[in-house]
Amino acid sequence: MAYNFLEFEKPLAELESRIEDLRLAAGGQVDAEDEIKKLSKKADELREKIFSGLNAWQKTQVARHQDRPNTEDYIGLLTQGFTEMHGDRLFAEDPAIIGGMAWFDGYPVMIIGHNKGRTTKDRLKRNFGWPHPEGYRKALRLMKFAEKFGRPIITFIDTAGAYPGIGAEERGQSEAIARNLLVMSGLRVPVVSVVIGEGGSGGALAIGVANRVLMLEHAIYSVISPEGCATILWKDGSKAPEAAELLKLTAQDSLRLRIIDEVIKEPLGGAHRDYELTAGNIEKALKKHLADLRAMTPDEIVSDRYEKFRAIGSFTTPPAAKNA
Amino acid sequence: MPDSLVITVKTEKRHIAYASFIIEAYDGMGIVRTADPEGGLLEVLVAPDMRGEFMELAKALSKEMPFAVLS
Repeated sequence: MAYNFLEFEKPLAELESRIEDLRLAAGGQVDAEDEIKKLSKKADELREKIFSGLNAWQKTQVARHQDRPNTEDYIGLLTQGFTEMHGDRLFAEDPAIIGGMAWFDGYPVMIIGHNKGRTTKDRLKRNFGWPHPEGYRKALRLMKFAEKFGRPIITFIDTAGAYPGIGAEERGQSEAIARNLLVMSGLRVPVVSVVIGEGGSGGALAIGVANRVLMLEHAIYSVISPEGCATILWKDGSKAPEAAELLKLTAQDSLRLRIIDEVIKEPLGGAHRDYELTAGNIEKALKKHLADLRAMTPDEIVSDRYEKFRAIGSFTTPPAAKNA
Repeated sequence: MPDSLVITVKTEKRHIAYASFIIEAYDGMGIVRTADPEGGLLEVLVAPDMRGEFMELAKALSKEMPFAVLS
């Protein structure tokens, strides 16, 4: 399979191209096989070296990789009998968020996730994964439905953020997000969210108020995109790599800051290198967390979610002044 | 692993929204999906226990607009 290599993967791309050329030229010759093996070993070592030391900006690029598996891929790999549900019953259907009922691990569940699309046509249709308010209201409709029938909810987060266009604002983008935060906080069924690519701002959080928040190893989760942050702070979007470091947006940072509960391992080279292996790792993590949550009563589930979000962040209170 | 019946209904495009809202107004009776908007084909996911109630509703709806249960 031909991969789309990122800038920092260039040495690896050259090596893999040499291996491919050798394979084509050799046609099964023993001498060439030895050389291919040697080069493949070298490529594995190089890949290991590159991906074990990715900085925040490089991780951002991996999280946005055009071939990275998306919600639709995971639905296909992890669930059976997916029945998609459309429309918010108020305004319209928003293809930037997909959702529906499915079976996971033998249990009926509700799946909701952002979808950026893959081909240009599909990306345009899905507004590049930037949801409008109707997308969040559809998600809300499905979440309430899941609660009514006692189905656990699994959400896949992959968006740069909620769409900030005029139409979206006119129809109450911030209201839709805020309502989702409110309703999700009180859902009496287990909710597990997985950040599979980009977790951008309120657009991500609107389907991310979960009992367990998991992140893929090279996914990012942040209040703003690095480009947006650099533009606001320094009036210079080209300083995005610097902003990415400061935002602490990697899965490893998020785990250390207790914003998420688990980092899910990706195949060497990123999730796009092996969809099945990535899905398998997600499946293991989802099974574990859903089993824990299924043992709780609805009251315990709500309280567990509340405690989780209350524990995020830290602050210090200055000692009271003597003469106060 | 069927946990619901899929009942296919034929109506007209202009009646889809009305039919969806009526069915969903019977809280928990069924979920409506539009299989073919142009052809007015709906799929209603109904819990097996609610089949009888849905068929009664379908009969009532068929008196006021085209609404035929196909399967």
